Amino acid sequence: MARLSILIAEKSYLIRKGLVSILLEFPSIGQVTESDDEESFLENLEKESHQICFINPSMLGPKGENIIKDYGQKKGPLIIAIVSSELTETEQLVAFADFIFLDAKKSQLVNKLDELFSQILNKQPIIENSTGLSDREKNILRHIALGHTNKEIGEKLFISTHTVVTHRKNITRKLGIKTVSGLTVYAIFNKIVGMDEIRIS
Amino acid sequence: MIITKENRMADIIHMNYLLLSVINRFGIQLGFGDKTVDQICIEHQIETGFFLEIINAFLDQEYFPDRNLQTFSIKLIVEYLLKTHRYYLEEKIPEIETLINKMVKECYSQAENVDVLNQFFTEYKNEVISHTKREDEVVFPHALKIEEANENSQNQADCINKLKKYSIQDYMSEHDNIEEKLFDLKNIIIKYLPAPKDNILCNKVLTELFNLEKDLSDHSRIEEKVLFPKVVNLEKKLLN
Repeated sequence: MARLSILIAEKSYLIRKGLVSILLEFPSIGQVTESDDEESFLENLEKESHQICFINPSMLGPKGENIIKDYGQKKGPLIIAIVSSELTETEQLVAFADFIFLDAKKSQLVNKLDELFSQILNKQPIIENSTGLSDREKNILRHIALGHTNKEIGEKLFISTHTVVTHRKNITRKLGIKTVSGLTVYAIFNKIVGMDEIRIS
Repeated sequence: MIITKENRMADIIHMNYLLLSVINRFGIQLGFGDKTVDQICIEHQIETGFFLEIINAFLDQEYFPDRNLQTFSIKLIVEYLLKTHRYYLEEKIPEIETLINKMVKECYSQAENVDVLNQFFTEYKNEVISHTKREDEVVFPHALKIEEANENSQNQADCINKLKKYSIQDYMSEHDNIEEKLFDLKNIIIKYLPAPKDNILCNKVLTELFNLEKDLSDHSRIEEKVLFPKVVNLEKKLLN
């Protein structure tokens, strides 16, 4: 079985080592590289090919943020943000593929990591599934077409804004449509919303 | 391959016909026989070096910023960018709009809600209009003023005062991406519209969209990699 190579960028020694010790409990993990500042992180990111990077977004300056945004569009490593659960600056987090939360219980964290690792190790089935939107995604797309913000959608569906952001990214990736207007047009064609319910503005 | 002034104009068009719209912007028309780039540029009173850089940058995305385009005056670059804006607004966008209207009417049945595409394109058009307007009215005049103040010390004080309120950096951070909607539109037509009754018309719309996208990305590359860095440098000089 292929083993995953992981890069962690986190200033806090405790958090970094904590994450390493959990990661090493997974048989699928090969190598774990650690960085404690932006510079060494960017260096490691360039130098070796990792399948997953865990980053504390507060470590990134503007340069790092731009690089991360670029990676999100390329087929580079999966970039996961390490965030405390109450973080509200969602704009900055759009560049990340997913999140892990600092206040998560061990079982939650293990489940999340399990999900991430199997996503990478079984790339094939994900590509097969990616042709259609799930019912959840269709529902979120409907709200987007109706002009609701991420926050409003989260409140309506009782999910966090982060989760909404993740769904939106998946929708955009699956459909190949980036703008709200484009998504709205798609939603109309596919009768996810009615013409009379919305006004393209 | 890098185009030089000895290359024949006709050969260049054979290499990439999309350059036609670029040379038109310089006021060059077809019928160049065997004339070289240099001959044609002289005839039209165009600076050959600048023309070559624009052509080469269009053909090869990696061509600048490190090379010669940096050495041309802001005035020359702005003139070219203004012409490009006019080409989008007065020619390309109306042309595509007509084609899309026609496609919506003739290729699909009423029940399919395809006319929402007209709305989508109108929205895109407005985005392009406000984007170019902002550049024509604020950004380019600013760039020209900065160049002038650098060459002529008379109005410098005034210019420096204004710089404190608005610098090119402010604009760079708001320079929005007008290619995203175009990208979406292509995908919607390719992937999500029902099969059209008239393939030829649909293909034509798509071809136009692909060409416009290429032209726009070349245009923003010249703004972001040549014009803006030049202005930033001159602004720094003025403030010191």
